[in-house]
Amino acid sequence: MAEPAEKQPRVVVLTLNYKLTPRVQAYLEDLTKAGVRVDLLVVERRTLEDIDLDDLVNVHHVFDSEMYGHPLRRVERRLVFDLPSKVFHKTRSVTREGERLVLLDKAATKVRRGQSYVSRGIHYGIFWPVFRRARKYLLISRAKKAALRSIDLAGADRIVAADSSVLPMAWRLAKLFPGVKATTALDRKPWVK
Amino acid sequence: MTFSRPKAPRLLYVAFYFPPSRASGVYRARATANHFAAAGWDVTVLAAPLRFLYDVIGSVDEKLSETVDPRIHVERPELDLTRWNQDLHSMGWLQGTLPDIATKLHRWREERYFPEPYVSWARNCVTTALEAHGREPFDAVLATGNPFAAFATAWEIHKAAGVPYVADYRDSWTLDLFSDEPAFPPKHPAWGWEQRIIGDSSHTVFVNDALRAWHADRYPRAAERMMVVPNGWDPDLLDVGPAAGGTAEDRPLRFGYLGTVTGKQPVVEMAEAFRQAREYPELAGAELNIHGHLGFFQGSHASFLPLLGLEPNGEPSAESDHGLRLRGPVSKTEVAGVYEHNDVLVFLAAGGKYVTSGKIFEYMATGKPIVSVHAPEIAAREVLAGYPLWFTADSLEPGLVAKAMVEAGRAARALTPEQQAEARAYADRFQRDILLDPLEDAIRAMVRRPLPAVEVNHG
Repeated sequence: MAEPAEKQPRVVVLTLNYKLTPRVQAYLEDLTKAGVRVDLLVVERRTLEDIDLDDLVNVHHVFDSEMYGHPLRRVERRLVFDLPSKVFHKTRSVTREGERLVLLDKAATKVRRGQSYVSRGIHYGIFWPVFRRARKYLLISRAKKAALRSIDLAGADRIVAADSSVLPMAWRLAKLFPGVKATTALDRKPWVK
Repeated sequence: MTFSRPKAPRLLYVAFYFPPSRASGVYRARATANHFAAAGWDVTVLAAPLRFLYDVIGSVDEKLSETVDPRIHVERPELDLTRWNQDLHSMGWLQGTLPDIATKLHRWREERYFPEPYVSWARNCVTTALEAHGREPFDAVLATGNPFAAFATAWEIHKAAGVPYVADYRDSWTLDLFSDEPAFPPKHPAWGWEQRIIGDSSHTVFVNDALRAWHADRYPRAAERMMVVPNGWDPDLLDVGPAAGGTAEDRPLRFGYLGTVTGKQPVVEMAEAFRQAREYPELAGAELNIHGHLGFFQGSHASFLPLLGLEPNGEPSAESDHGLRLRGPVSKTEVAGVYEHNDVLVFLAAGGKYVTSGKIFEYMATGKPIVSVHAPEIAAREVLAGYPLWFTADSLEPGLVAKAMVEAGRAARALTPEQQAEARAYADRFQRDILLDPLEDAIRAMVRRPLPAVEVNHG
């Protein structure tokens, strides 16, 4: 009777940074070279732009794009950038036409510039600093759902929280799967010598 | 009427890194404890908990524990490992849910007492020491840093029980050895602590005169109590065998570097110099063996490989093999074989005028040619200047270093047993026991009770 084939090890790597750091890339490379399968959860498709990953890495996304995928960011984007843009676009489509409306058109252009400046100020000065701090908590439920839906966590050999943003979510997953080793260490043992 | 014989002097030695740790500073601690035990002291060592050595840093050499004098009593007070905890299952609610706040809170709680992550260990050391002192008093405390929380331990014991202490600066604390500038901003608590520690110590010890002078300048009132105990080498760990001269075999020369390669060292200059040196007929086909880790951390080797002209798997590439070879880490008890294997030893070192580097003493003990790859003003010059087989370019310019390598190679080929014996005789003055004698004398003089006559007994 043939010996049962040895089970191929599998590691779940979780990261919520916008870019995959060189440290994590090197980790994935070392694991896949050693024949370890990896389920990689990233925040959005753009995270892996220009990065070549081995076929052993199975990628999962929380959003296609966080900017339009997360309700808070979507609402902020719509209210602060898209809506004023639309209003000014409509206004100018009217003021551009008539010769008597030249002054009004110039004023609209100036207001548009001012609005653009204010929108950026609101986004970078108010919204973003607050969102950035709260992001890891705001993303927990979505990321957890994405991970639970598409990754076999119970059958994984290890869950790795690869950055500090993902730690609260990884901690909750560790509680859900007490039998799976869960760590913040990019530990290659025992697969890589 | 009967007279009881005076009891042996009791030394409390606070040394976080102690065997089985294989941290670079452990050899000085091991030798110091053994030296005092051999000189008749009843030595108690307070060292790092084994869980930290095995599970957190994973840097241990169990064979080294066998070289510790069995008369030495080792205690390992607990260290709070929260900040090093990577296991998500064992993290509490606060650490798992609000990691940033948990980290800040933990740091604040620890560093409001002393600016270092080892405070919990230092506090437990004080408790352990005072309990032991209550049972049978210590005559002196010797603390070695880093970590410098060891100094705070000694100072606290001195304040609580009046036991005199000595601070051994095995490493630099407030001086950055790579920039030669203060390591902390002016109002950092480290300065206040250092002033207290040096001010109240019976002696402060440094590894070279440049470091002593820098501290004497900052703390002039304590200058008279400062002394230098260089690192030296350990004959019990290094059996260099008889002086046989250079190799009689007709083979390419072997250059060797032993130690951890770090990003602060002039690695690129060394690799380029060796590439150029191999173009000289004397060094045709020569290899440069690197015995040690690349970087301090797991995975850090990857960034060094391109600097050394090696492939990602650590092997030389077929089209550009410049003779560099990775030989991997070596146990301290196996280094004699490494020295035996290589014809010329490469002294690759980082830093400048305050750096001596411990490995240079071992290099000299072999009596083989040494070629320098480091900044010309390095403090190790003090020691190397008298060594008859030292080759230096006094520069990091690869062409000049290459020439020094070629000269060292020639010397290795022509090395006679007499030349090697002469070089070894120079190195003998740096045997650790010889260098530690003045420290033992100084601490013995601090003891405030009659002591038995000195009988040296090396176990």
